[in-house]
Amino acid sequence: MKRSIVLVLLFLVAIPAFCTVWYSPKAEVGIGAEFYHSSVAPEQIPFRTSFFVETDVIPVNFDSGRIGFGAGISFSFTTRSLAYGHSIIKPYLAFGPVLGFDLHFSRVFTLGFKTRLMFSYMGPAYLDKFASVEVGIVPSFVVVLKNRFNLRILVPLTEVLRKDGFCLRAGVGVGINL
Amino acid sequence: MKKIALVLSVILTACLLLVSCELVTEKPSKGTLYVVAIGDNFVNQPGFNPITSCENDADALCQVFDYLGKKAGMETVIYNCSAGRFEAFEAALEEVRSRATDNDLTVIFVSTHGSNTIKETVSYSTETDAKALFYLEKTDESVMGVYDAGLKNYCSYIKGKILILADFCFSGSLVAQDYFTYNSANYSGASALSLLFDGTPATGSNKVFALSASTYYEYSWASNPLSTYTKYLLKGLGLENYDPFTKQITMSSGIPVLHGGRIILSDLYKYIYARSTNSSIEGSHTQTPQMNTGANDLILFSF
Repeated sequence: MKRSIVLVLLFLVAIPAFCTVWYSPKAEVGIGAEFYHSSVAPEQIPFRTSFFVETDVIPVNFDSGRIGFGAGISFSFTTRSLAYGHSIIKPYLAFGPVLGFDLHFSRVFTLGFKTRLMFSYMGPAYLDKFASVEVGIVPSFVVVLKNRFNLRILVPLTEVLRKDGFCLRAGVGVGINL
Repeated sequence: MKKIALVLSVILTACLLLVSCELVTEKPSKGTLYVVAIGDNFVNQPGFNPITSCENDADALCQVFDYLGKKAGMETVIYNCSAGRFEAFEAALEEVRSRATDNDLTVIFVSTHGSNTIKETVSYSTETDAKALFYLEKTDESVMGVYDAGLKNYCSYIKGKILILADFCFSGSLVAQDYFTYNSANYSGASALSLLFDGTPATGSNKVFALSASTYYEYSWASNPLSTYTKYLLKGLGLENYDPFTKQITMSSGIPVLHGGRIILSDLYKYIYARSTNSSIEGSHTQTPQMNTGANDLILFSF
């Protein structure tokens, strides 16, 4: 695990030495719906729906124009689920590191890939802890481009892997590159 | 821009289709509320100090849940087993087991003495109160002994959701993961719960939920006829007063833990926790109530 992290960091640092890249910190905010399926507690319906807001702050981001790599911090809050019968799913707060990889297909369209390792605290007292791994793809479309600054619309699709089940997330968001 | 609009439309449509799990699936009926409650004051029983509040606790709880259940449009079936003791408790669970359906909610409430050591002098059949909740067994003519096989059996077969409310010493060890490390039997509460039900300490359950006091406290009747934990439990549900002489409850005009037309278990837990851990209110009688872990929460009443 440590070796992998070191290799990724070395790779990120080495990129500028081999190609023309620029440093381009970015931030993204998204909202959407989360669909939780429990593998340990059978439900009357297959998915429980909650809503989330998430933010990625990626201060370390290098971009060559065709590909980009970044690392940063992610935060999210997921609401209580919609009610069904006597059952409802608790809300939770999560934070953790995020690694991103971008493929630029054109000046407008980019396909991003993200991996997060999240540490979550579940309501009501936000004392119950659990960890999760999130993998996602983030298609994005540039709507404002001015020099290196751009404003993008994102459509993040994420799978959250948890000990007690998994979640699918879909939503929309905006991102800026500086 | 057309592409953007197309992609967004597809995503949002997919979201709506998935959201429809709750919205499109036929709403389940409100179901029946079963309450099986027992309070034991341990009067005239060797080895224990008699206490005054337990039977009041069970009586007040039955009345409050009956009131709220009817107000929420549920059919209510209440079994107050304090007078009939173990036989009545077992018979009530047996009846609930034969009647409850998937949409029903069963509340099991126990208020009594608790101990974490073997009470040989009074023939307790177990070493910890972590097991006390699970089964009340008559070990001699007067004393209720406890062990874990019985209630597990009932909870496995009772359909629908089950809520266990426990108010006795060491009852917190039923629920908390690292609670009472000094428990003489080294009996982890979370293990107790997970052994019994369908979840694990880490993942919880969506069938059986538990709220529990950590330690039992009571006041004299003059100041309050209810045990500390039960008092806050019921006040959170809107109880204004319980008269121990007439056995009548008075409900307040508002329910403190009612949010968005629902009473949710974790909101009730927060309410109890905030008050029973506050030494400025409770003095030396503070306690740390516990709630089971896991992602699932329980809607007690929906108005």
